[in-house]
Amino acid sequence: MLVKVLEMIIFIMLLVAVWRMSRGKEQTKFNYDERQKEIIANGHKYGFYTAIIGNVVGFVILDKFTNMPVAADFIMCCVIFTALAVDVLYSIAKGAYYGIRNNWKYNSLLMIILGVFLEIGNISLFLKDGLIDGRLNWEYIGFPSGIFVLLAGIASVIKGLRSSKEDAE
Amino acid sequence: MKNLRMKSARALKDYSQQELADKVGVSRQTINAIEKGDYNPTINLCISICKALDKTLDELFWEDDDK
Repeated sequence: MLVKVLEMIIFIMLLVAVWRMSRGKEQTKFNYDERQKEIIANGHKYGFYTAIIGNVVGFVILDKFTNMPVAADFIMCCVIFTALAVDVLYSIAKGAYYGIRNNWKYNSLLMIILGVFLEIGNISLFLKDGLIDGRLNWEYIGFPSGIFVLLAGIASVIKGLRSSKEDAE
Repeated sequence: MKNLRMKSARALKDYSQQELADKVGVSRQTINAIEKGDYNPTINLCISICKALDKTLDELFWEDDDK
């Protein structure tokens, strides 16, 4: 337990360090224009409805498939990250950019590195301890969260490349 | 509906989409969306664009009535 708390503290310190590093010359306060605000609002709406539907699906799965090696907390985490993914990916795809720095390459790289870090951490935990209590539970939250962050990073790269191509035209 | 009048006015001024976006205070994608007809700007944004391109609201944004 203490090891996990220490890991969490180190992870948070890394995030803070990255945030501090991001406050360089290119750091610009994001000012979303009216169209981007509309996109973000729609993204929140779609994420919200995804969460509602995901909750229902989650309850049905838990009710009908009681022998699955998946705990309720893991399913709910998946629902939350799916809803977040819908929200964020919609906003990125429509050009309401999510990032801590006004540079899509930096932000994409950061998200991909973070996603890979989360996935590797959880894969190594799985390989070391196997399924704790024989089920996927909150200890494997890095799986869905890592996938979410990776998808956001990849979407950001695709959108950034497309925008650069449009800029050139 | 595409806003070709706005695109022409921008070309007359020799502005790129990014330059016009910077003058007006929006993203380049928003200017692109307006020109493509994918987004209807608010009246305030319309006014800002007209000022940047030295055109009137009618010249850039009024839909022509069928004669």
